[in-house]
Amino acid sequence: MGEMLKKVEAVFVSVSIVLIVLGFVSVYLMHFPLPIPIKLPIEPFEPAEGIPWRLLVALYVFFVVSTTGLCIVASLGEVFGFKKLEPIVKEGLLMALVTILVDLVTVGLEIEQVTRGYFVLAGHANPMSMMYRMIMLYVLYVVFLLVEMWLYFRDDLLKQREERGLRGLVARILTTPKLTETKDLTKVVGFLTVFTAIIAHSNLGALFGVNYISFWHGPFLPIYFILSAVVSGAALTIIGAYIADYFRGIKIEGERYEAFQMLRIILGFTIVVTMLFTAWKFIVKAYPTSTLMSRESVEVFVHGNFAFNFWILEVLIGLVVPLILLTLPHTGRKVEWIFLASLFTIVGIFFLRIDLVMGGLALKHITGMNFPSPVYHPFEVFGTIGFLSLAAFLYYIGYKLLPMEVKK
Amino acid sequence: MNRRDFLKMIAGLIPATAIFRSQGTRSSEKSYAMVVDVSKCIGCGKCVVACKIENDVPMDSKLSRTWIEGYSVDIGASIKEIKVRKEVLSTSKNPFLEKSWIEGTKGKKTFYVPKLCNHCANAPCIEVCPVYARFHTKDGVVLVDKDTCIGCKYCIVACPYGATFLHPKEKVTDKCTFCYHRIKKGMTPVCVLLCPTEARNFGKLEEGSKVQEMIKKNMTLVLKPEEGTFPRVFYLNLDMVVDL
Repeated sequence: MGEMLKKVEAVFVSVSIVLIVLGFVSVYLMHFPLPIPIKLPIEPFEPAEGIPWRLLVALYVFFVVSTTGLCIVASLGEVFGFKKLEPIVKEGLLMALVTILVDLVTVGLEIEQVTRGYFVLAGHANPMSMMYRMIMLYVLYVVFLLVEMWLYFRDDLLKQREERGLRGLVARILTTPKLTETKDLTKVVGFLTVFTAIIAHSNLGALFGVNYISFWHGPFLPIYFILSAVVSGAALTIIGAYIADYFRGIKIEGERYEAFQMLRIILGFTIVVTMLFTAWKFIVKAYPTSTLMSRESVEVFVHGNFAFNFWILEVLIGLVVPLILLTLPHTGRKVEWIFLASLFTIVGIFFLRIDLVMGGLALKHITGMNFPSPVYHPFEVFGTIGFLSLAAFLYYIGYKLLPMEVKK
Repeated sequence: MNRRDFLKMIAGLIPATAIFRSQGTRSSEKSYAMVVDVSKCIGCGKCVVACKIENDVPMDSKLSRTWIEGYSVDIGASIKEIKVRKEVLSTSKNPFLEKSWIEGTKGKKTFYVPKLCNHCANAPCIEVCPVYARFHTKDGVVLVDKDTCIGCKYCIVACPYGATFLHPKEKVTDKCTFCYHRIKKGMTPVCVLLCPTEARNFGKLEEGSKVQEMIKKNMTLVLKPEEGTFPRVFYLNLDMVVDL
């Protein structure tokens, strides 16, 4: 079994590196195309507008939703005294860091003139812009998250100092600054982190919600973003912790099992609330029939080009199947099924992001024109796979280098 | 200056900049405006081609600073049965000269609507830009600072009119400037200059000007008035089926 796992690990590392390289090359080619023009599958449906925010922006939203959710779930155990969740705090924090870092890379490569990004930080900035506020809040969030992690891992890093090799070196570097009492400080910084994460993420919701685009517009979009973040956070924590334990050959039992059960409850509950949110959003948008472009904005999801994404991927795979798996006693008690339910949820949430971003923009529409189908350029797809692989790979590296054993 | 004063200054700098930047942006007094008479547009596409040449936008790209929407309306038995066919002219290839359009529009109400940036007095693109790459001139024209634009495309998303786009070569956002480089020299925008039917009219909104008179004497409409953007492009004889 041990040899087998090592082989799987080697395959994972190799495949990840290949996919990451392929992803970066694809994104590079999107910005600096080959001399032979490659047509995007989605043609602009109006001359001056296409779908300006596409798959990479959807991925960006997916990652920020994930980091916020992971941070919220971890803080429940770390800051807010949910004792049962303490065994998964480390996984939560590590994944929160990984997702926000990959997220920054994603959005950095999506922006056309990223080298001018310093304008924002250097003060040539518009404080009235939701995007500016979001950027600044996420920068603050990364700083708080790094400090929080450093404080939380500190005791274990001190023990890890004695180890030889790279792990010992990392621990020695990270524990160079001296600090005596960290427990209370960790909680304070943890609170600041989760507070900033929630504000930053709701700001992202507002970034979409303030637009006149019918599918997005509304005051509840920022709240909905937070809610779906908790769904993502709970599901990803389960996935990350389950895979880590599987490859370490650890059986999930005792406190760890209890943590999974707690996550199962959080995930199940937030899925139900998400269903309610989605249903009412669609009903309110579509009724009465005469509201300005509102009905059209959801019809495309109900029986239009985005119907498969919505009904099959978002609703069935992302919400209904996981809820059944989580609530049935036979499956809900077994971590394998909880893991599978979480995987389904994450797939659903990923397509929910695509539908939200691209579906919303596709509806910027107009009488007599057809809505574009959700098809993607191969470079976008490779870029997305590359960034997802990068997140998985960084999680793997972090797990190898940091003291991830559960705190007593 | 002590440390406290310095910090106060820094803290005050950003909001102060915002207030300073927003000054005078909502004044429409003596601002430039365009009046488009839809009934005069014949969909020849000269304006589109001229604009692309003048402003260095790739001719074969569908993205354009100005474009013409052609509508062919088939009115059915009830109001719900109105069938609208729409084609867009945004390159040198004119779809309105093609056989399918000419034959398909026979006996139907057909008309052409030129569109461009509306140079809104309440411009969403200015408000959302994170780096102040968009701004109003004192005469009400919305311009893009191409050296500052970071290409985040938020302005494209925020524009209700689809009038802004990512320049395929420059990789920054682009849009109609009312040919600002020309109008500051006393000339008219090229689309106005080359329009053979005077469907496009341009000038300052001041007493006695042609555009002012046209607005005074005719029923005018703006696109998407419900957005509260206060466009500076006005339309005469606009049909109800046009995508406002």
